[in-house]
Amino acid sequence: MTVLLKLSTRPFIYFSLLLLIMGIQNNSHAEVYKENELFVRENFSGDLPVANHIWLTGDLKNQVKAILSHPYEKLRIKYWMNDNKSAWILEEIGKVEFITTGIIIDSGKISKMEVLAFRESRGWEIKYPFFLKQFINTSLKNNTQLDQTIDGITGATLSVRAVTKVARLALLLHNHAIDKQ
Amino acid sequence: MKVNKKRRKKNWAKLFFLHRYLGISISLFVIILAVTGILLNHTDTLELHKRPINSTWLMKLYGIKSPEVKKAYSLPNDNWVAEFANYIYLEQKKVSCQTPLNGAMIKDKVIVIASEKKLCLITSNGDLIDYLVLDTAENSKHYITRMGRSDGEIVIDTTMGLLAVNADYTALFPFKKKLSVIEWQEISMSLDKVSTVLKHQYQGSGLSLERVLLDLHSGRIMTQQGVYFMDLVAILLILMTLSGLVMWARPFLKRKRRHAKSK
Repeated sequence: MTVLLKLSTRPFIYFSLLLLIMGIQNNSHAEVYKENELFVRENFSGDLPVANHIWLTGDLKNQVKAILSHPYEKLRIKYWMNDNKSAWILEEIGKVEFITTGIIIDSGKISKMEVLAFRESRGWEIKYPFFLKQFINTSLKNNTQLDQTIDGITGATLSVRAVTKVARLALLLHNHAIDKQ
Repeated sequence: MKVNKKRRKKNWAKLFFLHRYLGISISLFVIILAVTGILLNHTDTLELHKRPINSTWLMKLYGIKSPEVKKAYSLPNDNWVAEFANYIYLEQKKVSCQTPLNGAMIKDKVIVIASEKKLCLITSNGDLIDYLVLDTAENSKHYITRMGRSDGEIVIDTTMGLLAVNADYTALFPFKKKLSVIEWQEISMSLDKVSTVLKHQYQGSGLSLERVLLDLHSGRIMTQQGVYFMDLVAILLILMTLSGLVMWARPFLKRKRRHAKSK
């Protein structure tokens, strides 16, 4: 029995090390998965709609700050709109780096969400459909919160938080853009 | 008996000698330890972490070299934009624009700063409005080389050709006029003047009083040798305390011996 234990220990250690190395390699992500323009084109039947800009001033600026808990990095945000459908490319910091997210909103609800670029060393699990599909058909209630609960991912709390904030922000901006039309 | 008494006297003399000279040799360092210790005990109240060190020789000791101003462009009303320590500054405020700095101009109260791959639009307060990216393709090899003006329009010279910024700063479009009608921007600001301002500000940002006191207290200010030295001072202080305690107990020990003899 002791001999068996001794024999199995070394391979177990090597295997664990291998898993650890793979995990570390997998975790050291700083990738662009899709270009911003390509994301927009794909969701508007290949044609890029006219781009507009929304200025973060007055009440809107305060609402954005309330959602993000800090001012957005820019004073102006670009978006693409066709009828009731809009596309937003927004960035928010996870832990230390920006996560670029593309969001398509149709008739006031999120119809598609994709992580376009992830630069952190951990939390990259948010890019997978199993997580992002939770946002489909969500809308905003009381102008700040999503009307559905989003389940987090262990070890990716900050990334989940960033992407959830961005979803709320996109819905707020979409509603504002619709009101402006 | 007499021999014992003589030996005992000699030992006490040695102990006294040791205590005395230990004391004098470590006194300065004990004072440093005590004073820095008291100050560090009140770090928050004294806000030591917020007090910057501007001393040139201390900065040198820490190997903090003051970087140079690489480029600076003047703007109207004595304003300027400069590249310093891998950041872009609008006057003394760091702005969210990337280096290298290839030009800075103002038009309709919007300051347009050219880096290598994009134009950065900021307000006169230094708040970021937006970026205008030269080429959105990933890993694009195109870049901006210089910035100029033609009939009030801001023009950039790039590896993709001449481009101009549209009226509402939302896009870049090909500039069709001749090269000769463009006034290219030169580095126009006195680097010395900008250097003085930015270096003074920079020197205050890297080193705090708290850091210096911590390093003095631990001896780390003289690298690892300083740490070992302070360890030695601490050990000698312990020895001094013990020798002091023994000397303090001497009358009691004497009395105890006398009492034992009389019995």
